[in-house]
Amino acid sequence: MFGYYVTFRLGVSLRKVSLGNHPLRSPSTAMATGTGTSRTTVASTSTATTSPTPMTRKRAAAAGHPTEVRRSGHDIRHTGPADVRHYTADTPAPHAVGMTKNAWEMRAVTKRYGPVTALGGVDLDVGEGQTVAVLGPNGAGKSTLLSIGLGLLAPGSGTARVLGRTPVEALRSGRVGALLQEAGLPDDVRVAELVTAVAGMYPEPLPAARAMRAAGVEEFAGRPVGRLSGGQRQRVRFALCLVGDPDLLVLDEPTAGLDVEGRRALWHEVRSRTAAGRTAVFATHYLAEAEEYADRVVLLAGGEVVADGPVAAVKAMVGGTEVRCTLDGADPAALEALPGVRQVGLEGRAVTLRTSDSDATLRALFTAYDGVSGVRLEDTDLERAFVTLTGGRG
Amino acid sequence: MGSYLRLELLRALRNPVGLVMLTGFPVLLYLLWTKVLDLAQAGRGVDPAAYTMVSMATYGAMGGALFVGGAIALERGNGWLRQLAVTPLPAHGYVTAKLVSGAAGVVPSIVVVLAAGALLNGVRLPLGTWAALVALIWVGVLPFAALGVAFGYTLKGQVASVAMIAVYFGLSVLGGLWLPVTAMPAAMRTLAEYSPAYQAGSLGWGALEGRLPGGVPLAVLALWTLLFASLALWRYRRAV
Repeated sequence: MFGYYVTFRLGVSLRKVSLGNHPLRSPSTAMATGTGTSRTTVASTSTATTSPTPMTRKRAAAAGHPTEVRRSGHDIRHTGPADVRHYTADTPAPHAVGMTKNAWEMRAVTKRYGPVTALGGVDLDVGEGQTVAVLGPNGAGKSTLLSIGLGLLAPGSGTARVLGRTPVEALRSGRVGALLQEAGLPDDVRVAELVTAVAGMYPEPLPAARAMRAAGVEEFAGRPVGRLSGGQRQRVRFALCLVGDPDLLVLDEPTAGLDVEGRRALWHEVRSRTAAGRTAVFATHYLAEAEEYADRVVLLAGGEVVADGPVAAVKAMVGGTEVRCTLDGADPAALEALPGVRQVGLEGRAVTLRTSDSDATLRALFTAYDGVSGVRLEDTDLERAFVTLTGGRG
Repeated sequence: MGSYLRLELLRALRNPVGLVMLTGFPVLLYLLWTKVLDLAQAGRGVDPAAYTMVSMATYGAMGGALFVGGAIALERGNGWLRQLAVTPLPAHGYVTAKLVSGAAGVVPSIVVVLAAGALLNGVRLPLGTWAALVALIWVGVLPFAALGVAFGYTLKGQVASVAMIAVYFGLSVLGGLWLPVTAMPAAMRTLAEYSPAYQAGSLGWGALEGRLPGGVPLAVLALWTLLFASLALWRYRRAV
């Protein structure tokens, strides 16, 4: 009955996960539940339901995850060996107070649209020079989060500071460049005219020609915006976002509608800017983009941060590997106690173990149980991590 | 702001639909009234061709002023305002640029109709009067720019255009720009004479007789401007 993703879900909310409609459910298990004799649970432990926080803390720490697990304002952070990419000398830790300034700070930010909670108390600090991907399914609150950081929306409660000021002040100072999802462009001007006009709004803009070259709009600079394709318009938006030479780039689904070349050019430019110490925060559906271009991934689901850490850590959080096997009379708690196991899925005789150390898990599994059969291993990819962490609402 | 204003002026110059609608249409109406249908408005001892010329110039300029708001509504709808909101340009900079480019944009409507009067209908006036007409008609349509902004920040996209056309035609007819108020029943005429379009037109009609704008028309016009501007400010504050 109690389907909890113990390790990573408890920190946020004790949401029940029924495999009845869960994407992780395989066709064969679907048939098994169809008999009505077995109810499916995922990773249930008795202690977790009564004292979630200590359990979470202990387990996450034991697993050595650098990822933070959060619950109602209390942050529990763990750093571990997987965290190399992040805490090297030249890329300061995001939360290291006093070491680096935050380009973006959100404290307990909420936002409601009528009865719908778009953001339910988000804390998010982004240090200068970081590249952060905000990942999540549609409706997770990504755009709302970015809109509040850009001063387009006021938070219901909580505070947002950007570059040490209010979001609106930061924008007015010309140090923020934003690429919005649904930004319209005037159709009756030429690309170069538009970019030049926007450049003129900033105190220290790039030369318009340079921004246009960087965004790949040079070849149609003389064309009216109304005659551009969707991808070309997106490049123009990117040029507008760059032309102020901002310290902080905020990109909402920046590569939507771009072809391969356009994507490559965009990320190349973002990278060269962050390499020079500037900051980028982007929202994306594309997991590969987050994996490839972000120092850090913030995973949103249902308006809450469900995971926050380096990509590798977020991936590791759901277990690097899945061990599947068939076993009679398995006890979920005992399976959970096996080395490396972070999550247990049990469906009749079918067992799914998410593990960070498949070798150790297998060794222990064979030692502990005689009747283990049909063992197979599957890698967890980011896609799967994403679906799991967001409760299958991707 | 300067760079954005330049862009807006460029757009105003380049907009052929607007140019035809707001200059061509009044000219055509003017010629239809005076040349074809002989429905030229009977002014108070004024050359009907001149009187109708002022009416149509006011009518065209009024449209130009109102449709400042049409552009705002369109750009609120298509997301351009959203894009501008993430630049250093403050929201009032946008409205100001729209108003200034709109104000510049109404001048052609006035000049073209006056030119049609002089060249095609043989209207002859002292040079000073021509200049005064341009200035007075321009001032007269200021309240409509405010009304347009109020519309622009209340409605979005196509709905705004339709509503604005209805208001545009309604106020033009009521204000005696199409047919003189003297042709209206007494009650309607009283109403008409306090309407903004009539007062805008009366500035020019008076100038034809060599009269300076009187206190009452200016006061009524100022009241309308104040009313529409407050409305615009209220809608703008809610929207931004």
